[in-house]
Amino acid sequence: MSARKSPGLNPASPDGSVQVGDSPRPAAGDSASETAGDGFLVLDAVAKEFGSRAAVQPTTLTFRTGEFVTLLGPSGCGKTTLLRLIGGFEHPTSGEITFRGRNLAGVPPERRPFNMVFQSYALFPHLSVYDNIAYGLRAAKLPDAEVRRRVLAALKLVGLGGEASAAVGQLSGGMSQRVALVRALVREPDVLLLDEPLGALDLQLRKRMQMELREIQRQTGATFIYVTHDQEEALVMSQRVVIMQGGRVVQVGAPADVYHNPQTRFAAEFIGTASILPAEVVRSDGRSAEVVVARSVTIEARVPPGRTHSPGQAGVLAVRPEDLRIDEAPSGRGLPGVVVDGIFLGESTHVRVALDGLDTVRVQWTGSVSAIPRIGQRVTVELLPAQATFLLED
Amino acid sequence: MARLRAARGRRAASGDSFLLAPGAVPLTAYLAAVLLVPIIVLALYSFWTPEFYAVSHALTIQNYTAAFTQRLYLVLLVKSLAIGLACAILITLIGFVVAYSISFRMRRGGALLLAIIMSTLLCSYAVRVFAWSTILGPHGLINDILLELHLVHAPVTWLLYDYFSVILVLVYVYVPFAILPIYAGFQGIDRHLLEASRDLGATGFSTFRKIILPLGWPGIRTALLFAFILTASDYVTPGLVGGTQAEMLGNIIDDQFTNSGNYTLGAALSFALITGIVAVILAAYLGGRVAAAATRQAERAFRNRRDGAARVPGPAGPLRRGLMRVPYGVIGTCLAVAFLATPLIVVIVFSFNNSTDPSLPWAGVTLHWYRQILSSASFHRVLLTSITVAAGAVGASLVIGVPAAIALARRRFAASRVLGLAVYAPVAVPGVTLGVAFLAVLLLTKQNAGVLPTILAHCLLTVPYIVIVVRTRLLSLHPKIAEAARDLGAARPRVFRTITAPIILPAVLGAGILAAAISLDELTVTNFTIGSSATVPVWLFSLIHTQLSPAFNVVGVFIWLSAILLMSGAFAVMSSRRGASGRRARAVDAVLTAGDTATPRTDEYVGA
Repeated sequence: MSARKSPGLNPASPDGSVQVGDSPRPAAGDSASETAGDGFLVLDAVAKEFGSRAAVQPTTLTFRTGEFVTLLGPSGCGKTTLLRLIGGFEHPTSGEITFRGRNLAGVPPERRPFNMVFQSYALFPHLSVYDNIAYGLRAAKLPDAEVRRRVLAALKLVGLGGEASAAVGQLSGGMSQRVALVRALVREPDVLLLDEPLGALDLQLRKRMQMELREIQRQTGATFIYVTHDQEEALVMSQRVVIMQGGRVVQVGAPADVYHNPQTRFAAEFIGTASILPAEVVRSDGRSAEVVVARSVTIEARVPPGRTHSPGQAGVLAVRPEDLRIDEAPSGRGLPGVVVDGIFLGESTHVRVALDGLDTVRVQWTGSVSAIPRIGQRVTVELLPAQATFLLED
Repeated sequence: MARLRAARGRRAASGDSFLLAPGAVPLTAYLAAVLLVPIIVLALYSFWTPEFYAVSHALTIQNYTAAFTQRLYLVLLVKSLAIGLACAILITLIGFVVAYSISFRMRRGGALLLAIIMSTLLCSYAVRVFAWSTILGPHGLINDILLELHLVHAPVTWLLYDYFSVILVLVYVYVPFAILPIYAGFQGIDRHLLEASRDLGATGFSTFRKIILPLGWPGIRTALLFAFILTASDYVTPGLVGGTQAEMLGNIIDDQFTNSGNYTLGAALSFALITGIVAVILAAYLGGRVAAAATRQAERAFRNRRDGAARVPGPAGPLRRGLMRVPYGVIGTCLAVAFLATPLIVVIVFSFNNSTDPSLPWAGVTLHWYRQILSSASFHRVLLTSITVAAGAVGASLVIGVPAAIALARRRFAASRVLGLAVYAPVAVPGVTLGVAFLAVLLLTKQNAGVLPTILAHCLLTVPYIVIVVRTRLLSLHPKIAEAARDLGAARPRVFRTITAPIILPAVLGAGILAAAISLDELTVTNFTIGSSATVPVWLFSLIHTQLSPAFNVVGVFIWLSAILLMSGAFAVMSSRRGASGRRARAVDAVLTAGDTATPRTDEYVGA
């Protein structure tokens, strides 16, 4: 336990320099096979099999000091298993996890400077709120006065000052969530692991807790590794998003990066709203490509970095609603179709258009709300150049 | 062993890291030594050659030839199975009605009724059965009423010491044990399912048939199964109220080991009985499947004929509406509770009757019988033996059962499935078989029967309850709770001390009391293992055989009151523990509010 002699009891940033916002954004091409950066928490070819089922394929990832990383993917993609491997609740079948250069193999959960916020909280039912939060401090053998001071401060932090003696069974979902959070945070872990902690909360509360979590992460300067299947949550909260599918990391990057430069069709469809159109390469230079969409419209498209394509290669074009425009006066340069629906989203409006012979696409409406095309109206959908991404089928 | 090897094969497939969790080792060893070995020894006996009060180790099948060809044994085997089947059906029906009414038709009253039913179990089994001779005897309550009403001119004699009384009392004894699994099954049904069913247009009856019955079926099946095994193999009840008319095969087996000394025949008869029981269960299972398939087919044909047209029930006539409104379940339940409570009331009332005959007429109140029993040296002796046995059995079964329960709840290990089933095996093996198997081991090893073998045997019967209660408690918790504690820096011993132990303590206490109650009242197996000594039930059993005295009622009341006191004591301890933690929490509150002003800055925690 060289990493931390008194578990979790040093302020995370004693000099007050909290690394937020200006933490180095990864380059657009930051891929799953990155190498160790500052070596804070490094997963080196970590794999986990349950019997013959591979829950996590060999995965190499580096987490940096004080960053907020989200492991994002559909259920069963291995994100929770990865989190539990870091927490020490599962042992990798192969590969190793190092923290500050020290191999964590064989280090039990209680001796890792990480703490976990469990899905549906795992509060101790026989202990009061106070005793739940004090549990980790008492395990660290802190003097009672110190325990009391810290628990009290923690309760105040999350606005539960009056609930210290409440039984945990009497708490609402939001309160339980806060107790679970501060129970882990009072130990001031270097890494906080959060396993879908907001899943059980209603939307309003969830949005508020998202902001609170970001705030707490900034204040504590701890590394937050956050597991969720909610892509919106991932984009809102994290500095980096790790997209997982079938036990494999498919893309790592900043939210804007994974949104605008998906590297696989899965990533494109899982994050945000993407419409998929068939396309074929006309010309490619490794940074962009000219593709012909649906054999009719030729357009400049992005391609995943470092990937070269030969002319004639077939694939798909992943288009965001904002990469499309509706032309009400049919012109020859777009894809013809029929308006099927208008969706009001508050800050923007999407129009769904069933393209002739193709799937339905979502188009962001840039005009005024009152001028939205009627349902059933024939329109042409135009593609904005150099916005959509050309991808090979997964 | 073959099963363990199979489990090891599965382990390789599922990737479990170990065959047996350390906590499950004592239980496994114990089950092997105290359940498996005696059964094997009994099997050996059944193939050995009988000599008078001895056995020669020459192998033979003559015991089985005798068991399956002699008319007496065959008739008794068939009779025992028939009685078992009849009892099982009656018991399950009554248990079902009571469990259903308590679960779905009554609110607060249900819990009270359940408590009353279960409290009757606390009074000694032998005494409660004995009370039926007060009720059914020639000068009993029923005959007295019949004579008073001039319905009969002479006492009806077939009420007692015949198959009628055997079946009646068997039903009486085992109904509470059938109520529990059925009730537990019903409790597991989400009430929203019933609302959803009604919401989707099902009537009350079809909700019952399509939701409650299928979902409650596992509990009902358990009740049927256990009622059949336990009643078909019973020998105590026919011994007490069957007289010479209504013997069952269990009595013959008992006789071979205790009086006739033909151990090998007794062993063979034991296995004949088990074979018969298994055959009936298999037949019922297969028959049930065939019947279910036939019903489905008939239903389909019926629906086809109706051509899918929904049947709209017409308005019911006033008579039908009136009949539909009668709360049959509640009435049935009240009758059942009366049936279950009457013997206890008889025991209490007649313990005060100033007459040497434990039946009517009422001869005034006396405390004579209390004085007699409470000052009786033999009662003191057997009570001490009972308490010694119970203490030993509870202690040993906690040591074996609690770690096993934790292991079974917490971890999946290769043998966990096999062990999870094996732990309930002792309860499913007929008591008479267990008893004679134990005796066979003692005879073979030339050990004396007595307190120690009895403790070992009782432990076998109490461990399943300990495991089920403690394991249920653990399973009701958040699965990650131990992980959460470790995550917060607690090493395994600390997790056990601060999380696991406090959480399971009430369950352990409750299970311990349950185990004590079972041990104190155990008769079927103890009868064989206690030897020349005696526990309270064994003592009563032998006395009731030779004489009838109102003093037995006193023993029943004594045991009943002690058990109730013990339970309320434990309950008080548990609730005061809760109170103590509540007080501690309030103290913390006070400190916190006082410390509010003393705590300088709350933001120093976040280091901002």
